[in-house]
Amino acid sequence: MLILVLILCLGTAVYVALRRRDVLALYLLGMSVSNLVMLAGIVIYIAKMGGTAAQQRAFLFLVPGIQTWLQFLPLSMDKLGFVVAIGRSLFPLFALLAALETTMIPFFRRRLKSLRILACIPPALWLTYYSPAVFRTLIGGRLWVLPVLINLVLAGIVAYLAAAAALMVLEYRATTMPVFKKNFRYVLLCFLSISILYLLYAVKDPAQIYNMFISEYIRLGVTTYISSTLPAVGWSVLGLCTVFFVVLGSYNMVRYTQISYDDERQDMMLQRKFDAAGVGTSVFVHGVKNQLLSSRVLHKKLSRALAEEPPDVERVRACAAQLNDLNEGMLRRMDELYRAVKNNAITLTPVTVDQLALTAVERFHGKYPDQPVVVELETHRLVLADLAHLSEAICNLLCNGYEAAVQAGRETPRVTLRVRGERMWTVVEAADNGGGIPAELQNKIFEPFFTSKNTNHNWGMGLYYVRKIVKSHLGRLRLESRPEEGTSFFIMLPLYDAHQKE
Amino acid sequence: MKKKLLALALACGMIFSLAACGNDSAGNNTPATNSETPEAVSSEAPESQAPSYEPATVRVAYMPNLGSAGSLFVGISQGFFEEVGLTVETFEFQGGPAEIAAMASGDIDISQIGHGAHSLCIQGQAKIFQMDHTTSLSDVVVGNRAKGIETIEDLKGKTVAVASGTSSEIILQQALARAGMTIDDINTVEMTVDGMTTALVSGQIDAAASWSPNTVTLQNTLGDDYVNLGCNADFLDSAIFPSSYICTPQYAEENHDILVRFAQALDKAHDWRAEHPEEMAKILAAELDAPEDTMLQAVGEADWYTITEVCGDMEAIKTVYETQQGIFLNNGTITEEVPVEDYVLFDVMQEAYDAYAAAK
Repeated sequence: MLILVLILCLGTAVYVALRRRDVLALYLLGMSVSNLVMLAGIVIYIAKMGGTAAQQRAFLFLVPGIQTWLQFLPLSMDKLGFVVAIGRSLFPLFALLAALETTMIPFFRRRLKSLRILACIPPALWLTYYSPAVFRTLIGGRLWVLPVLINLVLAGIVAYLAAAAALMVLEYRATTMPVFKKNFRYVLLCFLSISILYLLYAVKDPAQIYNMFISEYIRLGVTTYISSTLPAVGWSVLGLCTVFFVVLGSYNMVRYTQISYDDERQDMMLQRKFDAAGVGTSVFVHGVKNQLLSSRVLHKKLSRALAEEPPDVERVRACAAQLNDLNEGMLRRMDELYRAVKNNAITLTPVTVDQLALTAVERFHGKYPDQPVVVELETHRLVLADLAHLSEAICNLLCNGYEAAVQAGRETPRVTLRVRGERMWTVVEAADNGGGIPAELQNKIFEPFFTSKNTNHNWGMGLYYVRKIVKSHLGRLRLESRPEEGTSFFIMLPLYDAHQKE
Repeated sequence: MKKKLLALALACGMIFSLAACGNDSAGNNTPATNSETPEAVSSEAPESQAPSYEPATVRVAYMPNLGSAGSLFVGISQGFFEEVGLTVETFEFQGGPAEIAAMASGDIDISQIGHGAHSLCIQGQAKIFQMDHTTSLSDVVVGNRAKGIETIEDLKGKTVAVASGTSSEIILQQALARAGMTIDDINTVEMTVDGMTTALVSGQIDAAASWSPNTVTLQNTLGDDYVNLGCNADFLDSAIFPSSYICTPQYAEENHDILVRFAQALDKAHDWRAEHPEEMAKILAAELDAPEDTMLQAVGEADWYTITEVCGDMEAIKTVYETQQGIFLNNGTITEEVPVEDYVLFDVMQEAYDAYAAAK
């Protein structure tokens, strides 16, 4: 069974490695592989040495044939022991690196590089100590060193894992945004499950495999790999737990992969959609052409009215008014398209969130003068933003929210603008009490030319524009929607100055 | 040296001079034992011919070869343990040191060890309560002729696989010493006995300190390239390689009665084994899931007979262990001499023997 579990681990690790290319995934992969290396070494050792642990044949080797095969592998115990020591020493390192990668505590964040280097030193020392030649020289004739070093290394490993777990739990507790929290929960569970599996075997000293100083090991009562640390029932429970943890861990890692994979895929998809600019352009050209045709009809009417003797002033006035409307409409569309396409040139300057919120609300009131916006500012940080573009994007979200609330027939349509600091992000939330966005539409709404509203007034460029602006601010756009309760859009902007105090 | 040879002469002399393991002679030779312990047995034995025993279960470690597992599986299959109220659970190991480690951690109650692991008993890690045979003949330092190995001298600078703390390591040391070499003259690599079999066949190493039945496998696989560079029989003029049943000091203290019963069943198994060595090989082939041919070929891997002769003679047994300790002192495995009584439970052996003799 353990063989199957290990194969599952390896498969997952490879899958995650293929899917993801970010540092955190790499560290989690490192943890998996270290664990795999250590456990594989121990299983081979048990196969070779027999003992009470080897009684659990089905659990360890699946079929007796595998045990026999492992038993006859021409491996020297020095190599085997050192392989186990490598897995055992690298796992805590990867765990700590992963935890450092996730932490947003400014103190650690600022010193990330030196902390990473520092974290590598103890495992390097452990590996030096466990290299068979060094181990033999170091302990030979100085047997009192053995228990000291066994406990020292074990304490180091436990300290590493405790520190990593503490950092991760702190980070999890400090995260308040549901989207982030959910995302992080998977990583945390994965981390914890692999760590528990690791610790079950990591408490035993790998140097016992070298078969040196046997008498001393027995005298010290060092627990051996070949002795089952758990009673028979414990083994079954451990087996089930292992499978559960690995499946959970694998699922979580894949989920974790998928979240960002989807994100990337969506980007690619949108890019392709808009790159097939012909579609957009033709929609635009078609719309404008229709209006130009209407304009031609109006011009003819105008000419006819003017040709009369005396000219029909009423009809001329009406035509002029219609022409004016048409012209304004076309200009508006032109503006929208221009805005959507030509937003590469944005200028990022430090802006207070108060300023940003105020400008956005002003713009909203330009469209819906009498509608109140609830503004809740939990932070007064600076953000790096192009005030005009970003406030327009926020205004866009507020307008959408208001319209959604009206469309849902709310007695008091309510839109709220919240700004708060969230670890390394400043989060601008635009929430409404509308009807919510159905799950199947949630991916579509960011596509260009998608709209659920009347196409004469709406071009479906709104959210595409918002997303584009947010991306150009190096931010992220997320949404959470509950049917019949409303929708929240989150604009997450990177923290402008990590040193700045709340 | 002189003492050793004298001891050997004593041990060997015992084999031929003793007509049988008489009840009386055993009694005469008994060294001072615990005075309170024999009571239990002496009061039990005369009571009835089939005394009732309190049922107990013992977890026993063995190694998968005739020399180590023979008496144990004979005892189980012939019901000798059952007769004394013992249920035996067996656990397979690949070496004596691992068995002792497992006993120390409480996974195992009793282990059968080859002579190599006796050094751990001398160092105080375990107590011997029954001798299994007086000398093993199973260890062979095997060289590969294809790698240019013809004699022990050819091993200089070559790679030799060895399992530390096992009997075959002692044979390797002895063989090297006889050629005026030490372990430092060769390049040793630590391997399990099964691993070194594959490594030697595939040419990764030049020689291996192996033991039966792996030596049989090597002989069959290497054919003409198989070279015997040294085995137990080569050193019997100056050494002896007993194997024993052992337990932790704590277990011995708390389960004196169980040990006596276990040792008694072994005495009976030894007699059966000496009379039916080939049947024993067949029983083991079935129990260990090993090829019957290999097991039958290995049937000469220990002296099955002498133990049945000396089992009641505590002086002879003591001589064997003293001689053995001399070997360890000589090759530096242990540094100071320890009285044999410190780690050998002669009282258990004697009581067991008495009970067995009474039941016969």
